Amino acid sequence: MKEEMIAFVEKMIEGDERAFDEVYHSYSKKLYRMAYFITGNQSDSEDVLQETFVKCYLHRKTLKNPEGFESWIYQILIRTAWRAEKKGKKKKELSFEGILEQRKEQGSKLAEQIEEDKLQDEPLDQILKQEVSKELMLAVRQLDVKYRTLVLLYYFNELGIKDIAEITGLFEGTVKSRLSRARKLLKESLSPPVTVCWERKDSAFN
Amino acid sequence: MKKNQEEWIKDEIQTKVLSAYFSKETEDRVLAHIHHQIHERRSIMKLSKKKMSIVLAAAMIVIGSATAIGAGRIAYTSSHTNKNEAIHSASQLIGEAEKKFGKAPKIPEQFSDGSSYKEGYVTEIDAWDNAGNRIGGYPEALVSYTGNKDISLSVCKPLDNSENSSGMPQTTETYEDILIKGNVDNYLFLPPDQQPSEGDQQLEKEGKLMISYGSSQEERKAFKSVTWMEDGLYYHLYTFQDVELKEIIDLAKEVIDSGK
Repeated sequence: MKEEMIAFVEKMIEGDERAFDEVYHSYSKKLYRMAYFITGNQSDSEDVLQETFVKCYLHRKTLKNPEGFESWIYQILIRTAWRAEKKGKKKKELSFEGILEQRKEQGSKLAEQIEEDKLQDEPLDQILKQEVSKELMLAVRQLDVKYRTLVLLYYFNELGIKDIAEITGLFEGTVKSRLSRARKLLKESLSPPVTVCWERKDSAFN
Repeated sequence: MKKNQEEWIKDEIQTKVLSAYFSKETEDRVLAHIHHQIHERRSIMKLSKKKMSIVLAAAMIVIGSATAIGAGRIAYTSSHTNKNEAIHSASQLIGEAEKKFGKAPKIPEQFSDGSSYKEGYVTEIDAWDNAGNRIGGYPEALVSYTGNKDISLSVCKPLDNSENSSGMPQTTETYEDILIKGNVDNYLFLPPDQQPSEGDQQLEKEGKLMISYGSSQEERKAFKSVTWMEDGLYYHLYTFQDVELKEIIDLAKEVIDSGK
């Protein structure tokens, strides 16, 4: 965090509403986008953003270390988003195994589609990337909200296991195993045709 | 150079997250809502601090596990009232509250001193921990009376039908076999950036003064409250106005007599 922002957070903790507005303007876009990734719709994302900042101001005195503001507000955002998701849950989430099965079926359909697309004018590589990107996002949306959140914090916020555990309130081991399963699922969603797009590389979770 | 699979997934997810459109108009509109919410909740929180012990017990019952909460983990309570959801007659409020409580609360349309029903709400009291997480909730019927006295009546239904023992009352009186408890508590309202004096801090430590932040200037007020348990419902009549506790107890008796 920049020193200027730390100063705003300090003032906000003291009750300075203008400083609070500055903090809001600095973080609202990023937090809205994170909320959107978790909830998947505009209305819920706005509600989550609103509630996050209301809590931020009302409970500002519980933030003892202004430098830890980002982690603190992520924590509020995520708990608020999870609560909103739980409240408004209408569709039944697929089980992890169920999603894997579905991925296999969709993989075959995708392969057929790719064959058809070869006949069109766009370069094959471009078509492949677009299709795979869609598949990836479909897989992300089908993840349970807590898995999706871990994916967000890991890939978008680029946080480590320890930080994710602190923000989500989960044990580090739980974060590690859930993230591993989520990543496995995402990678499943990219096979078989997409292997042409990259070189395989082992990582700490493979 | 081709990307590895991990990098590709990361890039795709980052692109996807960053593609969510958040307009300046939405940014400003949400901020306006935030300020409105903060203002509403802060005003209610000033009163809620006194009511916290009642709600704390309620929240613990709702959660069902004392270990899940742990002593002292509730940092705040708040209840949100939306002006658009105001109920403008006692009979209608009783009907709405009955849906939540499973029984009709006693809510008079007016008192003999001329104070009358202004507006009411059926709300949810929320209990929050230090990290800003909601850890429990409890339904409440909240009424404002205006006229000779500006007074509020809160009714809620503890799940185990028992009254929370929130300390020794300053005065008690039995009426129609119902034990009425009365208290006067001193409040100090301060602007957010003002520190209380050492003397006030000491009084707060001794439980003789409640310090609340958020007012535009320093203000000292006495909070008079009367509570009782009747037919499984917890009643709380309170005001910051300059009236004797005895007068509030008399109004409590009128609530008890209402609906007979």
